[in-house]
Formats: sequence, structure tokens, C-alpha cells
Amino acid sequence: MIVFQTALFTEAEFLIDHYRLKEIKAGNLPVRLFSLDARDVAVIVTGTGAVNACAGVASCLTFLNVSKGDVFVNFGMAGALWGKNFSEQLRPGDVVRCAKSTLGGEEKRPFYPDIIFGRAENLAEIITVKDPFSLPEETVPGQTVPRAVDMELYYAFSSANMFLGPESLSSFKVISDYAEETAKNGGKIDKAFSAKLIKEAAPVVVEEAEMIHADAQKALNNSGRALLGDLKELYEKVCERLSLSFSSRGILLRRITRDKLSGRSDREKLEAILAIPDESLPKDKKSRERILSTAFGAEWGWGTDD
Amino acid sequence: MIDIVYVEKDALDIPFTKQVLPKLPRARVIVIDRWEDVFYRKKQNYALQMKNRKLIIGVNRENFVMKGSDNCQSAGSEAFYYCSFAKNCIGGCDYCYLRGMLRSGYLLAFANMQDCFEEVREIAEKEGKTLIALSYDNDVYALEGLFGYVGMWADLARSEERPGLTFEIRTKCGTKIFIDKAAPAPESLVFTWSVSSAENIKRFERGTSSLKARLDAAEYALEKGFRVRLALDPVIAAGENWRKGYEELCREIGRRGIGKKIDAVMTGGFRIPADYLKILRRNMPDSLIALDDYEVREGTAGYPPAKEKLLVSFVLNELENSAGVPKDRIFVYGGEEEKR
Repeated sequence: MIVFQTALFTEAEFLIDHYRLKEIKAGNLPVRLFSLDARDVAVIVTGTGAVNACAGVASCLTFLNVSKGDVFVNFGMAGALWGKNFSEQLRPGDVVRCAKSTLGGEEKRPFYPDIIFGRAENLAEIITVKDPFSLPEETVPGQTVPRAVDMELYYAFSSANMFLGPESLSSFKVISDYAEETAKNGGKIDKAFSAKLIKEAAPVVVEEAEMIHADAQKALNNSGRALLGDLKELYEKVCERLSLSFSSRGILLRRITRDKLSGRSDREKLEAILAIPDESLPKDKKSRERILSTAFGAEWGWGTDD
Repeated sequence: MIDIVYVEKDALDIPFTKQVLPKLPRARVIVIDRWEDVFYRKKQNYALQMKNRKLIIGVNRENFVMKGSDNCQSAGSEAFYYCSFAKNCIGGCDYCYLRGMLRSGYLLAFANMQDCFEEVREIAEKEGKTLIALSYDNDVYALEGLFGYVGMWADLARSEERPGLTFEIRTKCGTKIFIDKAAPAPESLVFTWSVSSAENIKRFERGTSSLKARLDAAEYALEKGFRVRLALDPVIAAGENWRKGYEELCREIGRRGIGKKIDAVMTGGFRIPADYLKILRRNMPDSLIALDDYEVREGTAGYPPAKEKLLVSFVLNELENSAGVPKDRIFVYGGEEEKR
């Protein structure tokens, strides 16, 4: 699943239309959530600020029950910070990908999303500030990625990282203005102009997000369960039938995978276990697990290493 | 290709960093407060990070030098330390304990090597016959082109020549030019080539040099006057033909005449702290070695004693008879039996 998160509805509009999503009215979600079962995509519109971002992301990711292979993509506007030391300056309309998320004005550990899935292009540091007037003063000597400011990203990432690893979290920002100038103008930005930029950038971000999701799905192919291939279903049935403990499930998974990688199939053994009549199955768990020892003929005893 | 380098702000002005960054002209530099902020993040995916390497350059504020682990061998030294100034390596060995020990798969290099050298000098002064292993958490030799650590250690070794002090650089890399870089050979520096059967290298040591390249490099180092060791460690009994693989390996060592010239050979069965094995299995679900069955004794997972004895005595016999390594230069992992 791709879970997009935006602060404003205008930032989400294109995504909702593009994927033809419907608003989900469920439970006590504190924010707006759009999804459609068949689409495998969701959009969270959290509202602006720290509390909305934290509460919105945490509640929706819980509701959506995200897991490995899912990706979280923050999308929205950011103001360019111009510093003397940057060779590359950001301009309105640029789309950047966050490589470092910091919290302006507070001593908090920055968050670094892993740039593994998708493309490592147009990277930027995004500084989350309380308001458009509390801008960081200095540029970072030695850093070759430019900086921009927003008002939610750090919090959104912090919440999302409770559910997903740093490789599954990304943020794309459309530069809507020059942050220093906006601060001088009393924090006002041209809303119509920003909306236009968002609309133009959204298809690019959709393409990037889908690429990231495809990479994340591909990476799942190397997980323990994925390696079982056609035996996955049988493995799960055996685990259930014998009510295997967590540890024994792990050992069985390892055995089947090892045999499979060595060119041997355990299909017959698993099918034989499933064919044992109910009345012949021992009642206690230990004896049930011993069935596996017999079937797999453990060389050094069952479970000696766990 | 490294496309992102995280550089700790305190490391920016250290000469090491200034030498490394120009070698990665396409990489984007992200300045970080502390290396731990990247290296110790929550929920990282080691396997994925290994395939998509980034580099972290940091400043180590804690000890560089630690007492050697009981799972490693000191090859007869009274005191045994290991020095960790870089973590993770570019190889992809299926059995590597780093995959069970470290939270991040990114390369980490410390820039404040002068602090490291100070610490090493202090230890060298107070201890007698001492082995300081320099490349357990990495393969610095393989990364010499980028970091230049081998050259630095060779310089230190030349300035710290004293009887009984040995700096060991262990590698699976067969490049010879780094040997020239470390010349002239300091007495206290020893290069150890970690070798296994050609079949094991092909199957389980992805991204490392071939057996031939490693033995070529070991021969070249001997020619250049360096002290050389071989590590047939861990011995891995995989497949039905593992004996044949080790037989051929030892015969080749003997044929090249390396066996008689080397300083020492270390050997021992595969073992790994049991906690690391659990994480290794999670990080490497397709590693046949990690998937194998082991017995846990005092927190270390390894082959059952009978099997361990069988394979170690087989390799020992081959080392003596086929490789021509003198008995007193063979060291076997295993507590008080370490020195034969």
C-alpha cells in the first residue's frame, strides 16, 4: 500500500482524483482519510502543525494496518531557504526529495529517511519550523544538499517511523516560495500560485511514489516467507494444525527454506503431516511438535539451537 | 556506487574527510550532528542497506580499542585487542557476524585516527606480546582506495616498532597495489588473508576476491618482505564435497610454497554469538549457513563438538601434510587448546 500524507486538502486533491478515492468515515479518526479497498492507496489529510501530523499519521497507519512492503509518502509545499554556501539554489516549482528532516529551533535528533527505493535525485534537507518567522539563520557548511522549510514533516516522519523502517518513508516537497521573503511579507503566500505548483508537481510525485512502492514490494521477495514460494500455504497450514510455538515456527521456516534453496522440496513431508487424522494428533503441544522432528529427521535434535 | 555521504559536522575539517570526499565526486554530502543519528536509527533494514551502500564519516568519542573477543584467536599473543575504526565492509559473506551485530548496513568510517593512534600507543606501551587486530568489523584493505587506512597503519607500525607488537590487517581482497602502498614492510604489521575452499568462496563470500587472487596477493606480500598469515577460519562444512574443497585449498597453499613461509595459520569451525545468529537469520533469510542447525554452548552457536572435532582435525592434517605448514605455526580456535 502507498500511504500519502498531506497537511492541506489542496495538496491531496490531485491524488484523490487520480486514484478515485473516497473519504473513509470510520472509528474516531481525528483527520480525513481517503482510500478505496481495491486501489491499495490511501491519502491522509492531517491539517497543519505538529499535533495534527502526529495524531493523524499514527491513527491512520494503525487503522490501515500497514506492514513491511507498504510505503509512506509525505507530499506538500515547502519554502526555499537560500544560503550563501549552496551551489544549487531552490526555486518555486522545484520538486525535492527529503534526505534529512530536522526540527528547527529545538535540540532534537534529525531523522534521515533512507534513500534506497526510487531515485536519489533532487535531494534536500527539510526543516520543520513552528511558524514562517522562526527560520534557521545559518546554512550548513560542507553540505551539498539545499534546504527548505515546512511545518509538519518532522512530526509525520517521527510517527510513521513507529510503524515502518526509514527505507519506507519518503517526502516530496514542491517549492512554493522563498522562505525568507515570505517571512518578510508577514507569512503570506500566494495560495492560487501554490495550488498551481502542487497540481503540476503531483503527477511527478505519484510516479516517484509508485516507483518507491514497486521497489519496496520487490525487496519483500527476499523475506523468509517469500522464499518459501509455493510451500508458503502448506507451511502456514502445518503451523496452525500443530499449534506451533513462535520458536518452532521459526525452525520449521528455516528448515523448509534451507531444503528449498538446496534444491529439495519438503512438500511431501508437509502434506503427510496435514494428512494425519485428527484423532491421531497428540493433544499436548510438545508431542505435536515432535511430529516435525520425526518428519524432518533433525540431524542434531529438534530445536537445540533456539 | 556511493551516492550519499553523511558527514558528522565535527569531522568536516579533519584531513581524513578532506581526502575521502573528493574521491566520491558524485555523492551528495549531508552534514549530520552525530554519526549515531544515522547508524542507530530505529527499524533499519540491514540487508537492503547493504545492497544500497551509503557512507557515514564520523568522529569516535569512545574507545577505539577493545579486548579481543573470546570467539577470535590471538595466534599465541599474550594480550589480544581489536581496534574498531570502521564498520561494515563491501563483501557480502553469508556467515558474517556483522550482519547479526550491527544495526546499520551502511559503511561507517571514523575520521579522528590520531585519537585512535594515541590509544593504540598507550596500549602498546603497557602490554608485552600484543596482537592488535585492525579489521574485524570491516575489510579496510579492500577499501584502501577510498579510505587509505592501510597506509596510515603501516606508517604507525614503522614508528612503533617494538618486539612482540603485532598489528594485523585481515582481508579477503586480492588486490596487490595496496601492498606496495604499505611498503617498506614494517616488522610489526602482518597481513592475514582469510581463505576458504574455492567452492565456499563462490557460494558464500559474494563480492570478495577469488581464492587465486587472494593467494597471489599473499605470495606477493611475502615477496615484498611482509609478514603474512592465513586464516582458514571459519571452516565451513557445507555440501558433501567440503573435504575435497579444503584438500585442494591446502594442496594449493603447499604447491605455491606459501605454507612454509607464513607466520601462522588460524583455523576453527564456524561459530557466532547465538544472539547474532538470530539477527543474521533475519537479515539473511537466504543464507544457507545461517539456516543451518547449530548447538549453543555458553552463548556461542557452532557445530556440535563431534562435528567440529572432525572438521578441524581434517583441516589440521591437510595444513600439515598438504600445505606444509609447520605444526607450531598452526593455531586452532578453542580456549586452552588454541596453541597446539
